Amino acid sequence: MTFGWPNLARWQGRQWALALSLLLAITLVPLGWIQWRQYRMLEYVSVNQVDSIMWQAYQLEREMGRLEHSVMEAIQAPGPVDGYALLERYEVFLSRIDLLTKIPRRDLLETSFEYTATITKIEAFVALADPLFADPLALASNREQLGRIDAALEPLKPLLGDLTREANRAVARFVDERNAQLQQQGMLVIGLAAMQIVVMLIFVGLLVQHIRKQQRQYTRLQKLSHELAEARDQAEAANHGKSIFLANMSHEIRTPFQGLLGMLNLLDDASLSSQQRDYLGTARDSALHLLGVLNDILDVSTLESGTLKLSVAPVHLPGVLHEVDGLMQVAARDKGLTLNMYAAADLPGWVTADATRLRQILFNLISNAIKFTPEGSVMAELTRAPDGQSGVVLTVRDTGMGMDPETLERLFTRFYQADNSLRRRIGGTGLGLEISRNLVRMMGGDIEVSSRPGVGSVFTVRLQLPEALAPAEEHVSATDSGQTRQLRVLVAEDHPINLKYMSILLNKMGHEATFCENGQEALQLLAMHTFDVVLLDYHMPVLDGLATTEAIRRLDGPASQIKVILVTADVVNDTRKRALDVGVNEFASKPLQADDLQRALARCGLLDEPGHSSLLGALNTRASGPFPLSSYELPVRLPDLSHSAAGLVDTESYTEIVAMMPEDSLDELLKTVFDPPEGTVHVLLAALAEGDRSAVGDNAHKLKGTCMLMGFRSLVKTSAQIEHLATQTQEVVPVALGQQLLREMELTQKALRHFELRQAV
Amino acid sequence: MTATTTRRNFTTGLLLAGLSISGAALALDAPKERAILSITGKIVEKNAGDKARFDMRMIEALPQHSFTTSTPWFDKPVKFTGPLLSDVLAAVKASGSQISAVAINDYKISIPMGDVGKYKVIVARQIDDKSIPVREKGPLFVVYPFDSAAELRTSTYYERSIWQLKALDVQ
Repeated sequence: MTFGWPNLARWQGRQWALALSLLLAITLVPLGWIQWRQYRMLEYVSVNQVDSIMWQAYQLEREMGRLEHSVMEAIQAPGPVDGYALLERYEVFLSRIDLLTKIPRRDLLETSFEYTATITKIEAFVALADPLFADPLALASNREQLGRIDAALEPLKPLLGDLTREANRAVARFVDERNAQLQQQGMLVIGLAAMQIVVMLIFVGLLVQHIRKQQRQYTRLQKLSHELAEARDQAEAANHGKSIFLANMSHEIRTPFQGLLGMLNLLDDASLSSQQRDYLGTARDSALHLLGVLNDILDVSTLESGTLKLSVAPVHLPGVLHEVDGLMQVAARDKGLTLNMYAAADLPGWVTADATRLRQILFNLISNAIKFTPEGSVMAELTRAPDGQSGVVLTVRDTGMGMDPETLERLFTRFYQADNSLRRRIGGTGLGLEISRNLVRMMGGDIEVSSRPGVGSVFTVRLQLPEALAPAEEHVSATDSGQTRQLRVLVAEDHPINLKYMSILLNKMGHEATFCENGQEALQLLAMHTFDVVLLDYHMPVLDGLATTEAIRRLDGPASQIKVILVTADVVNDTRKRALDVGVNEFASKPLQADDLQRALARCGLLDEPGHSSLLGALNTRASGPFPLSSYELPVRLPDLSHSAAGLVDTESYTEIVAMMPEDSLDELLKTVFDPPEGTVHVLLAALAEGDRSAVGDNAHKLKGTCMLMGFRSLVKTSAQIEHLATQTQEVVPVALGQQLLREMELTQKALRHFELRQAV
Repeated sequence: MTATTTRRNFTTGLLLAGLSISGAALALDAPKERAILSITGKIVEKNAGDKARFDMRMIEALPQHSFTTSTPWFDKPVKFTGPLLSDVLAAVKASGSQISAVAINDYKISIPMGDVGKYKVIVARQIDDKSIPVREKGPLFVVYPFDSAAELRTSTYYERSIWQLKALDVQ
């Protein structure tokens, strides 16, 4: 419809309501007005008794007749008549005049000639009669006066008759007029109603059109959503393909690693020279790091494809923190940093969480903090969320280099590192924060960060971890290894290095292993010999792990019931589900480790549960595993100690001292500072432990002085801090400062040895 | 016991009869001037045979009330003053359901007794504080307070407003 309302389709409910109200107002207001007019008219007629005019005129005429009759009677009466009765008749007649001349609607008559003429004549009559009636008794007996009145009345008679007729006509005119008005208003009402109907119909038409348009839009949207769903399905299929590719790749890359790491682990047992041991350590560290990096990349892929699932179980929170603390403390100490980790007292003990992933987040944030903090301290705190919120809050605070707002903005983006120049020196994949944030979000939380360049950064992680009941104590088996019998194990593994590794591993565990290269061979062997368990690699030529399992389950006899453990590096949850569907009993992850395998065997009911306490078991199945889940789990590798030595010792000052003092004096001096139990550091620590404030103050002051002389920068800083706290404030000197002092002492001594070494060279 | 009661009742009846005969003059004085209103029918107090007659003084002696109202007979609202019709009827101890009112001009209308209690109907003797001559619808004018209720502004009640009132017959 071309009504000039092209945007009708965009009208909202309010606009429709407004338009409708307006329409109703436009039609109902005149209708209401007409009704009001009619009501007023009827009331007016009723109040003013308009139609009584005719009655009044008739009554006037009648009263005149009665007066004339009375006067005639008085004239003809033989004796005197009652003058007052005559006067009363006259007065009644006069009262009738007012009823015609003073009523509200006298205008109906006033315009007519008859009315004016008659009223004039009546007034003339009254002027004549009034003086005569002033003395009614005299008038009653005076026939001459009575005769005059009668004579004056005579010509009034036809006039009053005319007036009555005129009144009748006036009323009729009034009624006609009123009827005409009513008719006119009736027509108006009909017109308005018709208009209302027409406008309503237009509105209905527009509405119908609007609805039709919406229906068309709805159909289009449905079609679009259908197309989108199809596109999504295609994209998902593509993504699934990608995840399969990733799983395959992870297998291809990690299989040699399994061999490499396994071999390195085995080598460790052999007797090696210290140099060889050192090379071996480096090789293992590198391999572990590489595996960690690989895992990071895999994490990102799985997070991206949405296939990563958290496997939640009751987790002992303080335990996790303690464990991470144990690993990270080393890295912090190596770098000369203080790492303080606190678990709040009111922290829920057991929560439902994925311990592995929780640990990964902690490792990432703390290792980042250590990486980017040249000196000072890192503090990690795990507390309950503030009042009214559920969950826990992890705060990681460092005194590192900090970040500017621009850096903060891009911090969580992939491969981004705060300082590109640092990249080579510090290393790392740059995936850690992205992974952590995704994991935290999966746990129903988020990471916030605030930082100031040169001051430090604070990462705050909020996690929704539902509290859980502590799992019931499991029976701890008496034997440490949990190994009770020798098992006959069939291993299907195509990779020669892995084959070798697994052979040694199983041998060490005391099991009897038979090897084959693929599923087909495994089936043949199963038909010929009896085994307790089959270890199947997921990826194998000819017949892969799943297909082999299916085939095994289809075998005749007891061989079909054999326990199947699938060895896989595949982290895609999909795979596990499919594996369980085809009849796999257990899983062991690649690279295969003794503990892992032991547990898998135990879960199959072939062995007793290995001798882990239930606490540790619940913490994580691979809490102390030799392989890193992420590159961030590894101790931070420091390029060079001398890098931080500058922060510890002012070389210039120290060189001066060395040059000035004989060697034994210097040794003596150092002893007074460092050697227990008389060394100032130790005395100060003892005072700290006892809480003797004045002793703390004195010794801190003394230490500060000596260290300033020697140029032990970090010790000066810390002792000055302790002194300040002890003497200038009422605060308790934190124990952490004592620990920091001790650590700095060790580092300083280390730096001094390094210094001497260089001097010697 | 019964005999005593009967005798007492009889004595009371006699006493009352005596009172009503001799007390008529006491309860309702005879008009001293020209009578302008006579009441007949079911009334107790009488001062002239079957009738009770009132002169203007007696009407004035009753409690006076006034209101201003518009009417179809005057082109502007006017003030009416006079005793309540109920007071007039009470003065003669009238009891009945209908009052037949008659005017000097022989106009006749029936007023239900209910109106008397329901509305503040007055027997006006003054319009705008001036006594009313016969030629101006006097001397007595029964008026309803038309402006006080919509239902009064109808022909029924306009008819009952009788002017030049001269007699009331209680039935």
